[in-house]
Amino acid sequence: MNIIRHVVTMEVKSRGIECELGIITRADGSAQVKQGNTIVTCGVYGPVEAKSAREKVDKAVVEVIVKSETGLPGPYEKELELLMSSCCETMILTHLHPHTAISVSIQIQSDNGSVIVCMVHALCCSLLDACLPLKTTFSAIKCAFLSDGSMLTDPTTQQEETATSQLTYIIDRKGKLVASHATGSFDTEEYIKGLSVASSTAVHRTDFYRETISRKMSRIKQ
Amino acid sequence: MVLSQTKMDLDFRLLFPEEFIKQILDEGYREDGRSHNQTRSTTLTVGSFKSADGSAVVRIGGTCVACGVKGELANPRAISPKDGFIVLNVEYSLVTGSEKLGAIGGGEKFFSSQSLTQIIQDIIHSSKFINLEHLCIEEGKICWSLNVDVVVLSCDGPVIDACVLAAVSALKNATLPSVEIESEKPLVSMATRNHLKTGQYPLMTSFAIHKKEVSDTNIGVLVDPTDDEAQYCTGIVCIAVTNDQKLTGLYKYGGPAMTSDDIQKCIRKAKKQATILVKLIDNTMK
Repeated sequence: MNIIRHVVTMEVKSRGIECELGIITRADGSAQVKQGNTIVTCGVYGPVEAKSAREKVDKAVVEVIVKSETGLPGPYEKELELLMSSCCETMILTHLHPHTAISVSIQIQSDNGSVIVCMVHALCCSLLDACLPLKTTFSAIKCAFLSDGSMLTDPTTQQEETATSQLTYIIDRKGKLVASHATGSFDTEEYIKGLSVASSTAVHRTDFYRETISRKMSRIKQ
Repeated sequence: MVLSQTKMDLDFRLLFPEEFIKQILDEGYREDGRSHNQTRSTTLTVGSFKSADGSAVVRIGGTCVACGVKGELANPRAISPKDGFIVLNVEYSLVTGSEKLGAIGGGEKFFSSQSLTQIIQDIIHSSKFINLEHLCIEEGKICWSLNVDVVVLSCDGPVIDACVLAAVSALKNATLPSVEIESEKPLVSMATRNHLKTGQYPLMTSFAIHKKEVSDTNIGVLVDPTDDEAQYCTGIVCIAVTNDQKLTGLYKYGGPAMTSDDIQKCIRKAKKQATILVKLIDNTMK
């Protein structure tokens, strides 16, 4: 068995992240990420030969499948797939693998708030585990504004229900905005405040990814 | 200023469409002669389908979207006995063609009809446009279920903007017959029809983002991109603003990373565009 197990925890105004690489043995890269009671598993397969109908001559095709805890996939899962595949296409250097396909499966195992954040971390960890060439690492943070104007980062499901707006930012290593998913009622100042909080966490997330990968590498050396 | 195209330009456009569009965008032009923050003209028609309770047809440049609202009597859910329903469904009509639906990245449709449905439902819900309690006729027994069907008839650019405008206008245009309960049975009187009680409504503006090859400012933002422009720009930003200038949705899908200044510029433009659309709706609904 070639499973590398380790746990990295960090606290930046959010629940700690626990990450375990290589938990799906037959995938090219996989990760399970836990943030509080939100658990997401992600597997990356590829680059493999693409079906001729879908293949592109100048880059790899990225397919993302999101599966919810229970039930059949609905519009919500499709929307998450759109968000995740846009991240993949921006971040993976797809032009290095023309005529191929990269397939990503994301399984939500339990949702206790900030599920998109957890999905992004699982996605990035499993892309790193699969050794796919990336432009930069990326991470996410969710902010929720309550009716009294106070801000919560990394809200749980109960906190999300009371919030007036829920802003999820997906940022790159330098803290710039890659993708965003914001709903509810909010104003520009709130959005920008959330973005600056998100940017400030970027450096910690990069350390987290570095530690995760260096532990994997030290295990391989032994 | 419309670019005058010589034979050589047209050949270049045909052979290297991506390179052609990237180069003219880098130089600050667009194929149809607009500036980068200029939108195309929007037309709105309401009440054109007589069989529906409310309807709207929206045209933004070459994009055409139709929306119809039909009310149905239904039983409320046991978990929320005071609420009615809004059942939104977005569909691409077959006449839009299969290759270039709201295209981004290699000629496939960027927004699937399911993700459009989810996004539009989210922003209509979060803008508090229609209070579901107003759709209730008798608590726990009978309520209105509004079927909002949006059909995309032709795609040339921001499909999502047109869908939101169509759905909002159709709901504002909709009238429902008054219903009274007599001895436990609903009595519908078609003679008296009332408009729905509506609150703040959302309006969407899309932007395409492209990375400038040679420039001091790193990224370029195009408002209201056409299909071809969206296809060769890597990222898309959709901003929903209510008629009282509050944000109610901000979606960015991939593309070059943006700083908060870039985002603020987009938000300002989206707010400006929203006031134009509010005027359009007000003039049409008069």
